[in-house]
Amino acid sequence: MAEAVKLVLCSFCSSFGFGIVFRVQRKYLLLAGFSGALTRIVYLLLLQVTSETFICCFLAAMAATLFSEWMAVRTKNPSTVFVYPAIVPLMPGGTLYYSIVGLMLQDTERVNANLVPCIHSLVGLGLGFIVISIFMHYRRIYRSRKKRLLFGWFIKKA
Amino acid sequence: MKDLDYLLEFLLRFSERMLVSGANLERVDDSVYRICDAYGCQDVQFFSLNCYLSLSMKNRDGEKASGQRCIWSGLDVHLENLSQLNQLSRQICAEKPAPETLEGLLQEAVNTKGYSQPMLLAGYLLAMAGLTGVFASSLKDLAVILVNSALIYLAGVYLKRLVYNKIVFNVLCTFVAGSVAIGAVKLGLADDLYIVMIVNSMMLVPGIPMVNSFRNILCGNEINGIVEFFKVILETTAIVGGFILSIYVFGLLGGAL
Repeated sequence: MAEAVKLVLCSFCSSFGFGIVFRVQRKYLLLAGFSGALTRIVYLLLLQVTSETFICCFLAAMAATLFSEWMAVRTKNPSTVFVYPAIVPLMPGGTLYYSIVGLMLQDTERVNANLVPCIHSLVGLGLGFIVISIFMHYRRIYRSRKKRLLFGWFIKKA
Repeated sequence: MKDLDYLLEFLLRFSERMLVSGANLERVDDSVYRICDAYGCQDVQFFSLNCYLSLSMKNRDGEKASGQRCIWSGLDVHLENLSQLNQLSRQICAEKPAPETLEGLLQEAVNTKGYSQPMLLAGYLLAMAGLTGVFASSLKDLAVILVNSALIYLAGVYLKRLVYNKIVFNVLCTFVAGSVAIGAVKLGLADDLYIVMIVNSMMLVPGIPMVNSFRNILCGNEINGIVEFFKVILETTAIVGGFILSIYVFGLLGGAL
């Protein structure tokens, strides 16, 4: 438990820090940190259920994107503003680094051990974003059409 | 210049700023089509890569304009600018200001105050401290990681003006960071050489482009996705290359890796 709390706090710090690096507006910095902590919490909870990197990254990315889209609507900003700091804790930097080390040293074992989880993480992250982005995109279209239809109905009535 | 030319020039510059600030291709495409739609442009053809833009369109009178733009400056994530540009696109769609005033509005939008250099450095250090905690390393390692992070940051500020090539820049930065890390381990100032190297590499690993490239591939922008993914691989290879070079130079290869 203490280890999990430490990881969540560290994720908060790294997302907050990257929020500054990515030059997020000051008023959204805490939200950036919180989104990173939330992503880590979801990831840690999923690890209790499955050890599949792909599933964990996919669902955690979905949670991060959903939160970011929600915040984007509330603050009238692009979701990217919240997505970037949120995914920092999930980035497979370590496995990518070790994969390239393995490739450079022709160490097949190291490549196999790291490249596959790295690709699983990347595909999981990419798919997680896309599923939510596409859902939100169609939701927006549906809402604007609904508004247009209603507006048209009122005009006809008038 | 005609209104259509002003609009074309603005849209190309606007798209460039959005891409450089960290927007996805899908968002840029969407904004361009919306603005064109607001001004009643027809037959809009917009092709975008992270390094190249091409736009052609017609006005209501059937006049045609087309232009291209190469984007030489690399990604410099600036989410505040991105927010401002997004607001600008909404404002333009709603108010449709005169095309000749668009350039001024764009300049206003990207002239954000942002953070000072010490604040950005503090942000980097905080991010690296957080990542060090995730990798469960010691306080001694943390100290060396922070020193290296500050060095890489300062190199990014001062050296980037001289070294335009990201690959060469990455090799230089990680060679210096690797050398400092090896020196610290030899002097007993750090415990784990690899943790120091991995956390420091996280500062340079192009994580956002890596995730975006996969997103592009899965969203139907395969050309951009593939090109970006190869760029990520080359830049990461350069990062690892710099570290390995430092290990070779200091004669630690063998048991060290």
